[in-house]
Amino acid sequence: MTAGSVLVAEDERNLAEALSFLMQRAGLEVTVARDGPSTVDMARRIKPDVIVLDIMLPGFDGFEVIAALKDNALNPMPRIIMLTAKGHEKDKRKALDLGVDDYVTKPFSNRDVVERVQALLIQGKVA
Amino acid sequence: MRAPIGQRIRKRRQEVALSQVALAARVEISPSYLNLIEHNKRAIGGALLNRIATELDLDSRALAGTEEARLIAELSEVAADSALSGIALDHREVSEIVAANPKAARVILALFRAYGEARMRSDLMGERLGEESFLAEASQQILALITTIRSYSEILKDHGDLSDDERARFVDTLVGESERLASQAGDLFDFLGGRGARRPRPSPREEIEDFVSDHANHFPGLEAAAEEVRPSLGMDDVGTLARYLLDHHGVTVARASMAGSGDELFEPDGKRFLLADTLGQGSQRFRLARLIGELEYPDLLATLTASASLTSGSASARLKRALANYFGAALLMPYEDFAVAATESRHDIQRLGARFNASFEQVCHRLATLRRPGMEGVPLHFLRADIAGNISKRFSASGLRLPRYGGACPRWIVHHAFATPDRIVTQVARLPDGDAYLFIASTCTPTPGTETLGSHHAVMIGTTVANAANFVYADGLDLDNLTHAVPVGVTCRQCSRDDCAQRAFDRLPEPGARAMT
Repeated sequence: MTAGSVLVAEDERNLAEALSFLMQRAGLEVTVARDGPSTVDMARRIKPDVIVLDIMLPGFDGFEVIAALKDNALNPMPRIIMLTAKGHEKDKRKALDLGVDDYVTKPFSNRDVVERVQALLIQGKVA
Repeated sequence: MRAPIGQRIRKRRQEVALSQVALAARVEISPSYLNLIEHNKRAIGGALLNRIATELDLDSRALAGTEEARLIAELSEVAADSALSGIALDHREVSEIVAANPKAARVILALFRAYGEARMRSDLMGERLGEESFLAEASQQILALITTIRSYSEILKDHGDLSDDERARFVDTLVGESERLASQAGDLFDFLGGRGARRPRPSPREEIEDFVSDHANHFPGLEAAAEEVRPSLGMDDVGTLARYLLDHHGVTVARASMAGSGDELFEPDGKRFLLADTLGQGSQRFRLARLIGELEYPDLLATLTASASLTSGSASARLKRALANYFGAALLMPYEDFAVAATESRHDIQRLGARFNASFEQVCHRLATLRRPGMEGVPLHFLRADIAGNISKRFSASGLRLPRYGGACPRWIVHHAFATPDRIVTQVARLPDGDAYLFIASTCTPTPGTETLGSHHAVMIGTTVANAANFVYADGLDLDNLTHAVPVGVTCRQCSRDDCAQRAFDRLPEPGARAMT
């Protein structure tokens, strides 16, 4: 049994692969989406515990993904970690206003991302 | 403005301890005329220049100061740029700088070139910053790459139990992403003009012009190569040239409809040379002649190109093509035959074109290459401009300064040639310093079928009025009375004709005038 399921929404193939590798090593079940529309589609289908969501996604961006997920009234709503770029303070504020659970800024450490995902999963179980 | 030939003659004469009277006698002119020449009050060229050079044991090209004339011309133009308006160098001072230290003049020109490039980059950056998207996108990409590299580095460090395949794959990814990062960072530095940015350099066209000018637009090696091939050709019609290519190089020439994909296509593997079916006989012949040069003398072309030490691959490729074109012209218009025909026809461009089956531009360009020592043609300038005044080819041996950094005087006949397409128009033009020239210009007809997207140019050649009698176009002109000559300048910025109705830009302050603060 896995410790939780994660949807990695990242269009940079190599970065997505590195995140997947580390999460799988941590015992998580990982699915990767490479653009906004497929992120929404997969989130509806696999109902992940956590979405690691890049802001700059093709199709529509991370904010639009969140809006679409809310419109679809996913239940339970997955926990979301937003990947933002260093120096884009407005993005962080907007992400938190939209109710994301956490954010990390690029260039981040993947170890850090995995630890945050695990922390959210534990919080979810406690809650 | 004249190159300081007179000073050089005087200096050299004194070095060899020859009196003015003695030198004048040897070159068969009066001492008073030599005195005027030595004080730069008379233009000198052609046979007399060669005789003086011989008597003083000097190379006539060095004495004529082709390179110095170019430096003076360019430095004068630079001195007239608005960025230097507070300094106000006059022509005499420019001439003195070049005469005293040509290397310093080159340094100033290199700095100005760098400044011009920086100004252009600044404009470009302004445009890009206006959009914001370039920097935003570049920073996103770089951050993503750094994140990826960091991730794989952590994986390789933290996970000693990776399989060999995994380790090899992750290292490959790491190397690939590092290279992408280096490339992205390079682009960003280029954009920002930071420490890693490209160093300013002249454009390919400028570099090629300098090289051609340094060789006085004459390449003896290519002339000799063309003369080597010519006897085995016999005729030089399209069929003969195509047969030569097939017999000597196994290349088949074919006509093809090439709408939108250029006028020619060489398939090295297929050994086929396709020519657009819109090209006339003359254009076909020149392309075939050029290809013969490219296939028969690749080493010569490569050596000449390498000797130019150009700063970019594109400049080298363009120069090599230009040299091959030179070969083509030399093959179809053999030096001696052409030079004799030019003299006999008094430079009647239409007659020369008919005899050598060449266009107006091809004949004019070939006339400008007649610089073989001992068999030199009349010193000419050559200029090609489009209808917007942009100059795409320039060379001057006539003494006329051709602008390098901006548009030429709007009164020059080359611009007016567009009003009467395909007609040869002439002009006697007088510069503010009194030097007068005969200008001859015509438009170049685009290839049929490409009138909309093809290139539309006009070509102008010219020479000093002292040499104008050698041109059929001077017939009927009163060259002794220049009061009717068209008052022209070189560029508006440098021109002192304040009353000119055609002025496009304000003149820069006179030397000595205080700059506005």
